[in-house]
Amino acid sequence: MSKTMFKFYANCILVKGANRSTICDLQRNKFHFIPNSIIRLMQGDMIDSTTILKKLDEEDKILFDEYIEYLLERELIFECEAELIEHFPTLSMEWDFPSHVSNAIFDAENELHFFNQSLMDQLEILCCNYFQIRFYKKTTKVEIQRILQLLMPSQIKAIDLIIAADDENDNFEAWLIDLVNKNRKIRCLTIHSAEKNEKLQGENFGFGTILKVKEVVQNTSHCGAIHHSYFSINIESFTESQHYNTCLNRKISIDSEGNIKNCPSMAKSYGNIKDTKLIEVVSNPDFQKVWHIKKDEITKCKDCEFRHICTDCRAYIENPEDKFSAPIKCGYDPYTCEWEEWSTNPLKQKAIEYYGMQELVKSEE
Amino acid sequence: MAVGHNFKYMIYINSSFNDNSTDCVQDWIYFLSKQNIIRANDFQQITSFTYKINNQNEEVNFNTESNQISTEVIKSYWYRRGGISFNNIKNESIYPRLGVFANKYIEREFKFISKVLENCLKNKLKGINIENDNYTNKIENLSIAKKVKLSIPDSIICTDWSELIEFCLIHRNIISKPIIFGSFEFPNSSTEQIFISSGVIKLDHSELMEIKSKCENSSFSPSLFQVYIEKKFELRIFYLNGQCYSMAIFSQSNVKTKIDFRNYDYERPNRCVPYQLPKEIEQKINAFMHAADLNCGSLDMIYSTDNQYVFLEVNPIGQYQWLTNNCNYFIDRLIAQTLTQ
Repeated sequence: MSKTMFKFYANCILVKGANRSTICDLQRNKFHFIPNSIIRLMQGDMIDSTTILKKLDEEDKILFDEYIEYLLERELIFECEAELIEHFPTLSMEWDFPSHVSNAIFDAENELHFFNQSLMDQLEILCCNYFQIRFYKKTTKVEIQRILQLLMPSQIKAIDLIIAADDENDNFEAWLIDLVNKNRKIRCLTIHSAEKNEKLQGENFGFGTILKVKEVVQNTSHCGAIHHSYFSINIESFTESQHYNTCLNRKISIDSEGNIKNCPSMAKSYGNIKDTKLIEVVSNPDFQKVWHIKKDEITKCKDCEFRHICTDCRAYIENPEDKFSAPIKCGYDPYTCEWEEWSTNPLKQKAIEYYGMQELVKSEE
Repeated sequence: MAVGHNFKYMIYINSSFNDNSTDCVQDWIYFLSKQNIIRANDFQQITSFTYKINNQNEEVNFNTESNQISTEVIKSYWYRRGGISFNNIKNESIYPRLGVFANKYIEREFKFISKVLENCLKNKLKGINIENDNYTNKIENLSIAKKVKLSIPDSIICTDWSELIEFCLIHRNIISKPIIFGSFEFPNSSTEQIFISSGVIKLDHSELMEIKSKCENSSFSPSLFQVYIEKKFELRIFYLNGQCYSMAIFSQSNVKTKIDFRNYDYERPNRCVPYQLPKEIEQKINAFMHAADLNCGSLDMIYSTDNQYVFLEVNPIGQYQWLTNNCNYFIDRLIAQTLTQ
């Protein structure tokens, strides 16, 4: 091979795992596996093939060349002349966002009783432009209308709405479709407890998705699942993951009883929305502590090749006593590189019992 | 919150209704300082106007239908899209011919006063761009680039086939390039607009001769041609007040986008990565922007196969969103900081 120096494109970043590694292509939103034995031959994001080939035997040389071909074909690396190396800096890992709180979750049984103008004003002060509402039980057209009336003239850019299916409610589905199409701030409406999984409407410029799912969302315990379908492979998530918790950073939530928490699934409450201002909670250093639990510090995750493209969950963890323990609903083992069903893992039974998840586990089986 | 206090520090933004970059910058302004913003969208007509100058001070005050603007209360100004213009007075005189000429006269006066207004904003306020930057001249800019010793492509504007063919024979491959915008719209009917645009077209001698064979005339309207430069990669540089934020675009690996990277390939978008220009080139860019009287703009350059940084053109402001997103440069925040500091 005549070409000698190769460099990874700055947005194709190596993440080393215990047993293998990934190249996270943050521009094309894909990841590729790469053996650790290949990584050991590289110097950071540089591959000096002349020097490397000298060290390899004939068999390994062929293997190495094949890998270079693979990386070139997918445009993960490029040939870089020596004098240009210093002109291709690595991608800055800075993460920043123009909000004190970037996302909020509001939970309700039938009615979101704390959702009013005062709450909207508080969100505006926090520069919060996005939230999610989850109705665990059947709600009414009147209640949904009331929420939208407050929301539409506000600074809120987008919301996600999760509601329960309601067959007794006249023309509910047709009414919802019309509603979503008229109110262009609804990014995704999910109807849970439906008779089948169905996509009623696809997205249109990022808004207006309507989904029906069979899953019954009746309390907070459905959350926190870790799965490769939730991977998010882009610069924003990847850089955030270097410094902050990818689930809880700049998040606030209010549970159905009005308790202000990091996440509705967590036990600790920082006061009730009836008599506590969101900004007081957000500026409390205690509240912000979980924002800073990053993947490089979490047991198991820190050895995982997916850590910077994966979500996290701090509410349901393997050892509830240890805030750095891994999410219980993760079935991936970075030491064997196998995915297994988390709920049947004998080592997790104690924690499953602790969170009272036996019912959920059974219903999923 | 003290409203009076805030009123003293207003930021005036001229943009368009659907400009996402302006939305993003406003988010940052609100997050960083909660300063008041006046955002005027698209084209605003001035309903009243005052300009004062004396030995101590210079100020301009004007109203549009929706806003009152005064250099005494506005702290910073960002021109992004749209613009301000004076009301077109329809002078329907009893002497129709007089009306036509009077209107021409008034329009010319408006142009001068608009310049006064913009210069006053530029002199008095911290700002980014002015509307007049839109009329930056590509050809003049080549001449400025040459003066500051930025390398430029051999270029020709000509009207005669013989000149063009000679140019093409010397350079083998040439490109045709729009002199100003390269596109225009016209109404085909009351409901239909036709959009005509021409991108950059690469031609060699035989292609050129083929076109010539279809033309009856020996000359054409003045047109711009440049030598086609083989490149290793393209560069897009966002410049603001002396700082360069550069991105390399690998448009070579993808045959479809070899001429103009704007032909996006959605499956495999061209690799766009941060780039650090040599200090010497950054200094020349800085000198160029000063000479062109632009405090902000997006520059297009090429890194050629013979290792030269070649300047192509500058667009005031320009679309910087894909540059900042691919390189993680936080340019929205930078613009907000520039306006609020």
